[in-house]
Amino acid sequence: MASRGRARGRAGRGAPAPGGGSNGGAAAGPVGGGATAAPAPRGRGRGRGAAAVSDTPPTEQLAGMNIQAPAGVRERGNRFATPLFRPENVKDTRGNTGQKIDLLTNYFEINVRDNKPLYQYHVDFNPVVKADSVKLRKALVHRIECLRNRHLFDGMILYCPDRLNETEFVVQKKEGDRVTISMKLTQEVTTSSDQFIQLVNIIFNQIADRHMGLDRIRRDYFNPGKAVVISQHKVELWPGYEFSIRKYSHGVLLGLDVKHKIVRTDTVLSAMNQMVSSGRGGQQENIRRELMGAIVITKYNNKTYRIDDVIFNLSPKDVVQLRSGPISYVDYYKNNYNLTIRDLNQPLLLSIVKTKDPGTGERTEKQIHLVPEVCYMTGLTDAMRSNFRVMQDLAQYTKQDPEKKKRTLEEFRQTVESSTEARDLLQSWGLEVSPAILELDGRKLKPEQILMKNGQPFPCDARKESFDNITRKNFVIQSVDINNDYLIICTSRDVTHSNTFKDTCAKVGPACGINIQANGKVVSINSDRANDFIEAIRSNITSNTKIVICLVPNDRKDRYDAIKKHCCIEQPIPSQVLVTKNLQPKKAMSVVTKVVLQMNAKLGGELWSINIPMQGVMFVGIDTYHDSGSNKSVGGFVASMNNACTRYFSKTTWQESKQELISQLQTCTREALQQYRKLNNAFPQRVIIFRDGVGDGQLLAVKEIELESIKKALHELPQMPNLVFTVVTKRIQQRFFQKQGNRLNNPGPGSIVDTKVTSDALFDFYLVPQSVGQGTVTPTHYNVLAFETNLQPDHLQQIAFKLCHVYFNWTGTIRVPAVCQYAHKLAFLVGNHLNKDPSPQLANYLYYL
Amino acid sequence: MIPVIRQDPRFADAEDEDEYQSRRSNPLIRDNRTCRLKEVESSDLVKFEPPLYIQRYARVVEHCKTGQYRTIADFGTAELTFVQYLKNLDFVNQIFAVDIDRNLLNSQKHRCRPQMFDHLNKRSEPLNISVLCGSVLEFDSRLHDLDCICAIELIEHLQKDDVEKFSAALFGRYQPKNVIITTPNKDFNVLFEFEPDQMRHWDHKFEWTREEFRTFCEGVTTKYDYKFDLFGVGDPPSEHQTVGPCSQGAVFTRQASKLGSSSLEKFPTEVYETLYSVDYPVEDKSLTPDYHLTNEIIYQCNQIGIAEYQEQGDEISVISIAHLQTFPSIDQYRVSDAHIAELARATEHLRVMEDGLSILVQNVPDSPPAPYWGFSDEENDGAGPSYNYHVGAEELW
Repeated sequence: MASRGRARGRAGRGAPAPGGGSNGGAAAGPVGGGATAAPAPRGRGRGRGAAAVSDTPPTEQLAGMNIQAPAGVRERGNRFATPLFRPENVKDTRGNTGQKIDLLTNYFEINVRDNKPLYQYHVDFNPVVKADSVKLRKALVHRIECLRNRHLFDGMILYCPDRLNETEFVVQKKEGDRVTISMKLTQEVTTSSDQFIQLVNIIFNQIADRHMGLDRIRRDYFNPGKAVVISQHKVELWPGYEFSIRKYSHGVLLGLDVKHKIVRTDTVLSAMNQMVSSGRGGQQENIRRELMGAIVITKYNNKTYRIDDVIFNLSPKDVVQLRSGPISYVDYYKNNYNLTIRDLNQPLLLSIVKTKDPGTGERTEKQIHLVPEVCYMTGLTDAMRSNFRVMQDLAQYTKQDPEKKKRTLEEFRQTVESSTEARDLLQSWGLEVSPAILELDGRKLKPEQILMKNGQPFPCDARKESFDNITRKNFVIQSVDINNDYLIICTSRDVTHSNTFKDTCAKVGPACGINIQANGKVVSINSDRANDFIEAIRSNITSNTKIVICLVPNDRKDRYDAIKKHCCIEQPIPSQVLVTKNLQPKKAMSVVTKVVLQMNAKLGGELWSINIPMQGVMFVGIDTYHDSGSNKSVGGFVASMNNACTRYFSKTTWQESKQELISQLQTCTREALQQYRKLNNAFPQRVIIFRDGVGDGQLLAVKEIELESIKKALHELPQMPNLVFTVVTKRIQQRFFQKQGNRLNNPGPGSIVDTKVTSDALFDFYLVPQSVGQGTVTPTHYNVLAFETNLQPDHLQQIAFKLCHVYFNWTGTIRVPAVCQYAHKLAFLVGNHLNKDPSPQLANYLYYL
Repeated sequence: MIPVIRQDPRFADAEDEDEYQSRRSNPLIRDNRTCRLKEVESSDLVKFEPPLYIQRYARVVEHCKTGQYRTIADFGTAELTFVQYLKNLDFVNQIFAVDIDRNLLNSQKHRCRPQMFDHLNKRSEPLNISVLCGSVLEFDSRLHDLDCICAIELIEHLQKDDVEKFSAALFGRYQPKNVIITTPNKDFNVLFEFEPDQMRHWDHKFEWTREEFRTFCEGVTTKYDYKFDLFGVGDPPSEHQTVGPCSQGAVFTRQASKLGSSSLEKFPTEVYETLYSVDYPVEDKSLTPDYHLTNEIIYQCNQIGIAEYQEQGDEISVISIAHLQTFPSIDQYRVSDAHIAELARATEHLRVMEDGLSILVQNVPDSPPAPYWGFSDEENDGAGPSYNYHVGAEELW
């Protein structure tokens, strides 16, 4: 519940609670957030590739960026209201297995003096001041002496920390008129109410805004004064904080996380020049492609715009028609902003701003021309993200280990404490931030054992990020023999690579118990065009071909899309695409080992397993992908088909754009159940569902629509299976640090927290399934919406941890249960690459890996 | 005349350009006579485009530019609107925004804090803006001997008796090198078709004709060692030339270039309360051109290298210095190839070929730590680059 409705990437847009207003919308941010998949969180899950596309017009983003505007009361809506989601039948939500560990968390307790309520007043003006002159209303109330600095007023409703002795005040307007302000007490806001939490948030936002020297950017606060300049990458890092105050089972807590804003210091012009001179093609099309959708910030008025086009036949010398007459862009900037445009031959940028007339509600589009020289780039480009040096240098600052993070958190507390104004403000509201960060108890589950062929167990080494060493040397549970029944397509330039590949396969395959030989068919084509690859696949597949392998020279998306479309829809067959640069001698062995395992999984092989002591259970993972280009969203539905969790059934669904909710879940569930019976001769006794990608604001809808449609499908069975439905959230604010001696470390895999920072209204817990080498580990939040079973919370916690081990594309634990990650992969493939439903023939294979 | 910035103070709180424009064109607000708070500066007969207040600010800014004033005070700053103009002058080092209305200042003081782009586009000269609360009739030693004090549309808000005290404080004690005063021209009011005795704003204590203003200015120069030049803003329509400009002003220039050392004003008396003070981000001048050039070289080599790695899988790229010199961003430094080679040699990541003509850049980490390198769960299809350094919870735009 702590992800502040931002959820992730594009998904976030739907997430803010009702009334989230412009702030909510803007927070989603243009570059697909950081939906990440476990051990190697790439921070770009779903949004990748597609350039920053956001439906939010720049003006709205602006509203969110307005540094000075303190959060209005109404704007925030009821973001802090927590509906009751805890299943009624669940009394105790805590588990007790595992070994107790001492943890710290990134929370401060907020103490409320004497649990004193706040007072809410309705304000009237006589003579009447119109309700929409909020500014005047505020100014007048501000003049009431006894309320100075100790009230919150949004223009209609006033809150103050004490009961007012008098309720009528006479103040003078500037012009000399007298106005009577009368207050009517409407209610006492008790410290346990949601409204109280909302007010405390506003108060802390005010403090951060005014008394801590921080600049507000969207919802978070940054300190550009302490910027870290990384000149060789033309970026600056602004340290900052993200915080929110919420009610948890331990009381009102201030959750605080360290954030860094990446600011780029190169102008659009220099980025364009760079594209031209680096030889990556100075063609206009390339520039256009790179820049379209990018968000830029102007040098002169601090506004952000989204680039919709680059106009190459205009230059700053050209004349634009303004209300006051024609003027050249150069002169306009000179006169209006005292800015000299140096490059007179640069093209111009076009931004289309959609506006709504506040009076008539009429929507209009306005074209805005911008001069690249005076616009700064924002955000990391894909090129930067894929540049190890950039990421390495950034990570040095952004990845803080638990010790460092704790110090940064304490600095926040000290800054508040050292500001007289902030202290006075808190004092007058009877609030106090506890001096030390919150301590709590966690539990650590036993490390799991990886089961290989014939159920041979191998213990996981919790200190390592992967169990590579186990899978590399031991036989997989069940191999699908490939032998020579594979087809390699590559360009004539890459024939050597194909030989390397075949030879290495034949070497590493048998070590894992997979039979693959070095004499598969290789077809070389003369170009690297997508069509030629498709043609080669079409004409060379025989009835024996088990898998198609395409060795491609680079990661061009169009070619990848075409190959996948062909192999998933037109001519359904498992396929493997591999970029040849990964076959260089140094890497070939480790890469091919993983590819062989991956191909085996795609063919229906079973790689490894863990011990799940339950029988007759079907695990289901659900996730959605929002495509930036099309107006449809894809839902991925993946269900396990055996007790070992090694076989899966999958299905995709389509829904209207930006909807997280999957409407056709009933059909999906029904089909999965039928398939389960086909394979097991019985329906499952338990159905355990993990749903990823749901923002706070959508929980209710998920519960009422998705959960209900799944239940309907289950009710159709002769005997309704036990149902557990859990929402999984990766992007959360909570961090845990384990005290070990006098050091702080990341809690190891299998750490569970189900106290203090959980909510009384939920059945929730946190699980750290993975271990990280750098920075602080992000736990995963589990929120159980249905628990119609005789299982105990303990069981669910263990199952969640176990399922994090069986994602076949990663020989280690991942951040979410494997079924969720499969569902994510599926939705991503279909949404981003196929744009159509894959062939049902593949439904029982992990072809989307 | 072009509006200097499209920031009408009346709608300065507008969220964005659109709200600003729509409110600005709203006849209910625009018709100043329906709104007593606003100053009358246009009528059916006379309309100024851009609005008069913008023209007025622009004129004063023009004077500040001509004089290259480094230390400026704005008396009667109100919503700090004029400060927004001043802070964009790159030679200004110090701005004092002074007003007597503490409430107003407290609610507006944050307007002068550096914006995002001020941090990105750092100034070459330092700038401090201080918001001070106090009466212009009092003396605060911090404002003594400034380059310029501006009193835009201030004097007519003073009680007539205080005008004399104001002159005494301003010219007698503050003794800035220059003073710019503007005030309405009463002669112009006939075009507004006012009632008898009606003034342009409810708080105006008086309005001066051109003659009265000149008398005031002459009075100043006889008493204090200043000379003055008159100017006007807002020309009347051609058929009403006789009424003069809508707003009148004067630039006073101190005659003595140095003040007598006996002046007791040097004794620090800080009577104004500082409500807000902020230093603007300044370029780090200690950084040499070589430092910037080195970063540019690393940046460009890195970009080229990564591009080649992605296209062809080259783990090491060789970039000729001659090619680098064709980049405008490097070419602008006008240095020799040998100098570039020298700078590249001194870096951690770049190597220079023996012949000194090319730079070597490595596109992959030396020894990839196992989990961070090679295939990951996300990229197993080779559909993307396979680095897994991640930036964590940073906010991406």
